[in-house]
Amino acid sequence: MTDPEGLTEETARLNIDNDVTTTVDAAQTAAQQPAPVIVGNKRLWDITRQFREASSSLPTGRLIKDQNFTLFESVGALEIMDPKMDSGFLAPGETLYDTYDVLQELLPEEVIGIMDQIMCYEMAWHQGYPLSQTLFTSHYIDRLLWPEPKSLEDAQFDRQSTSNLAGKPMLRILRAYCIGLIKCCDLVIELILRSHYFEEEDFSTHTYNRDLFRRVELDNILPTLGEASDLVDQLAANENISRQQKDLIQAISDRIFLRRTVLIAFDSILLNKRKPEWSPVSNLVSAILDSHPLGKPVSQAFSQKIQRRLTSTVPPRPVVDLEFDEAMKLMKQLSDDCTAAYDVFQCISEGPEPLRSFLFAFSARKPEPLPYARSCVSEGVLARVELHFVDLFRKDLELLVLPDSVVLDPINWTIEAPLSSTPNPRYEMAQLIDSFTSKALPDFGGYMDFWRALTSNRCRLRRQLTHVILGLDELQREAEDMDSMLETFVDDADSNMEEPLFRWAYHQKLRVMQWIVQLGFELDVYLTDELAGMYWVLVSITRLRINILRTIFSFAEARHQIMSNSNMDGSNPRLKQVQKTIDFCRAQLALCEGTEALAEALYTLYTHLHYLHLLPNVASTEPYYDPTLRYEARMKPFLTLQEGFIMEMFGKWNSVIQPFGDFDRPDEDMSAKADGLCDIVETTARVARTAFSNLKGMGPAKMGAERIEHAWLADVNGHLASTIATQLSVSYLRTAIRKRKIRDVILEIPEPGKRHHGWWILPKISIKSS
Amino acid sequence: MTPVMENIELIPPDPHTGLIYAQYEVAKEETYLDPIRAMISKDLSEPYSIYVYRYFLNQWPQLCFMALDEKPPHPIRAVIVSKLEHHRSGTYRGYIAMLATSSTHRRRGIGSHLVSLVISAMQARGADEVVLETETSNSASLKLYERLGFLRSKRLHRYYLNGSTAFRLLLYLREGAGTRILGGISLPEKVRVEKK
Repeated sequence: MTDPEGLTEETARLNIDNDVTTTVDAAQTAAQQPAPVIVGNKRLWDITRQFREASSSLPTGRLIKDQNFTLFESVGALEIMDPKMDSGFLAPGETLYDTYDVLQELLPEEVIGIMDQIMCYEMAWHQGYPLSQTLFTSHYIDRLLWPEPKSLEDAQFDRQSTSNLAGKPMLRILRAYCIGLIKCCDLVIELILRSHYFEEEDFSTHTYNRDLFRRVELDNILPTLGEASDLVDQLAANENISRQQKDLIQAISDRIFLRRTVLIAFDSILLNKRKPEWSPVSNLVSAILDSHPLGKPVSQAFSQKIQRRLTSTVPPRPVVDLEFDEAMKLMKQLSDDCTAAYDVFQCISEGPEPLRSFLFAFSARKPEPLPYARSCVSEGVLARVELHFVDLFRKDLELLVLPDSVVLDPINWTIEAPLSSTPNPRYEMAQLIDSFTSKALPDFGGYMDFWRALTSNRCRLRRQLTHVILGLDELQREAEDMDSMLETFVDDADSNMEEPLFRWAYHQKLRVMQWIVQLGFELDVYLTDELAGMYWVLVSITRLRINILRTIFSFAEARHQIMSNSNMDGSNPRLKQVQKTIDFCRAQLALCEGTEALAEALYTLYTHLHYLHLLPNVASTEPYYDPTLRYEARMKPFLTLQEGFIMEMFGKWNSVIQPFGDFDRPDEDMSAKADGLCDIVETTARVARTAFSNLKGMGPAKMGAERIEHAWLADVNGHLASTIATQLSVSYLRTAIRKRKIRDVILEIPEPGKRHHGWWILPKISIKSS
Repeated sequence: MTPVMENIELIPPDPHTGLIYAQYEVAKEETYLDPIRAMISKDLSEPYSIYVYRYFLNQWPQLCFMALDEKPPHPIRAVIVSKLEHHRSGTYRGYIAMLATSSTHRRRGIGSHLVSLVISAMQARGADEVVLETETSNSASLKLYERLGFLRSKRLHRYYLNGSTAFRLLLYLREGAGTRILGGISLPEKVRVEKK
């Protein structure tokens, strides 16, 4: 609101005890006031008396809450004079800032100590902690960045003194190192901001209004680091220095070289997709770990109190301390993960399955890749224009349901809209596929969201996939109508599968549902007494998938037969396309059949263990325990899907998890059933073992996993080992039952990280030796 | 001083614990707020401001319970703080914000009893569900809630300021909570079965 006098703000001044002045927006109260005091462009009213009168009528403890004061704001609120919250609160004798002489020349061992501490903070920042609690606690970094330097030359530890670092080689080296580091942070933030990430949860990009040399090109930073290297070389060239001094200089040299390597690597992924060179990092990390004890920590060079200048509204928070060994382990991991991440650029051009295999394997890496490495992957997938997704999507359709089909013939897209009323089938097909693609791609939870989800952290991945299935469910509905339209344009029915679009969407949905359930096992989301039920759900989903895959497989095989009979040889590209579908289905079927069988084995085994009272059924006697409500809560992501078996189980869930009646009072003689149940476990585990062995025999190529061969093999071996462990467990159980030693059974459920495969939680059964 | 306990049906869990349970009252803020804060902030790396406590205690005093020593002056031994609101998912959602037991009184089922009191109070007010978060490494807390029937609905990466990961725990109190957003459960119009 602007008034004729040019006063832009109307405020009331509240005068408490004559010395504390608070300015509050109180235009309404002010309106009743006689004459405002004019200060600058503000009109001020004194409302102290009214405030006192109003507040005196309130009893203590009566809280006046503004409707807009949310929980979020209450969490962000500060309490004055509380040392943990009031950033200006000082203990008796405490100063607001720590003083530290940044121009005091350092010893080489001190420079090493400071660089190593910086490395600890840098890696803590990479883990997700804010700069304020990590790197920005350094006096040196603070001085370089504030006030904002106008140029790189302006970034000095002390801008007042002119030739401040003359004759101080150690400080000059440290300055160059810090400048390199700051540019590293800038490049990291730039890439992460372009990727699919969640602020604070994944990473903190906040720079507290500090410019991290965003406008300074790498070519201007590198010479500074080069000068530092030259200085080090000069020092090393001195023949009079001791062995010990030589080691110190070498240690500094290694640290500068590491900084330079990382800086160039961070820069190259942003520029022209040049392959980042991470290979020197591994050796440097071990050399730096070895020379770390030579350094001398300079704790005064860092201060938590710098936070006071970074932000005035948030209290100083504890500095994040990371052990040096841990920091270097993370640096090594970062370099390994970023090297692996670069393969994504190849995968995306190889097609949807190679990309899917790669992304899944990358996200499953243990320890979980750092946010920066995930952003490198994200850069490969998401920084592409939508056209690539259209292409990817068509290839996805082609592989599963439309191999060598007229529907996807590129010629269709070259045909112009017919002028006559007779439709051109090829033109119409292209229109239909375009329309289906546009429905599949951009919507919330759509095809692009699926790829985006695969670049998020593992916990998010599971949750984001629950949105993706909603989109796929919708697509599946749309697909039915589109399929019937498509059918009218395709005259050669034999060479095209029935309902291709519906089958594609339905299969993709089931596949994602399967992952959601499997990630639940991996992330330890299911309680022990839910395991049987969740393996039952997994059986149900894979069974549906197997049905679709078998239909597609038979179609493709028949098609292949006809083509081969018509004298097409194996090198014919059309035949190869159909062969690719056959191969893919065969590998997926082996994986699904193995999964279905092992899930059935575990469903049976866990159910059996419940009847033997070997598993805790923690909550069943509690007043709030209700199997139907529990089922509803667990199946929440699936409840709105057009998926028959999920809904059918409502109210019948007990018959799944307690098939022979109450665990304490079974309807049948469980001792008579024991052997039979063990038989089922054994048989199904054997079926699973055969299926996974078959898959292993096929090799990674059929699934498009050649690029991640090691990860693929480890995955398949994990499945295989799980079948063997299941067979072993059930044999122990059988022995215990036969010898009537159930009371001596020791049962362990391994935690995540201690399993053969994250998706298979196997009860480890042994018998107490008497 | 014995706290007023009207309108609350209290079931003493075990006479040997020597505790009485009471609902929080805004009028007694001067007596209780500081000890409640002290007890809860003991386990926190970064403190909550008084506004956080008042946000809950003044709006939902009926959903905050204390376990007090039966001996005068009835010091607080455990406390639970929660709220009940309509959530954007469409559910009427109870949320347990804080639960703390003094270190001298742990492993006696006091926390479980407080949670039960809160769930009953929420249920009486028509809550669809109760949720909360707890660190994945806090096995005592996980056990407490899971024994009462809570499920882990989500794993939340780096949920807390200190970087640790949490589980969201969930308990449904009424049928239809999972699909409330659609106005109750509706069967799909047509269930597709893949053609053989």
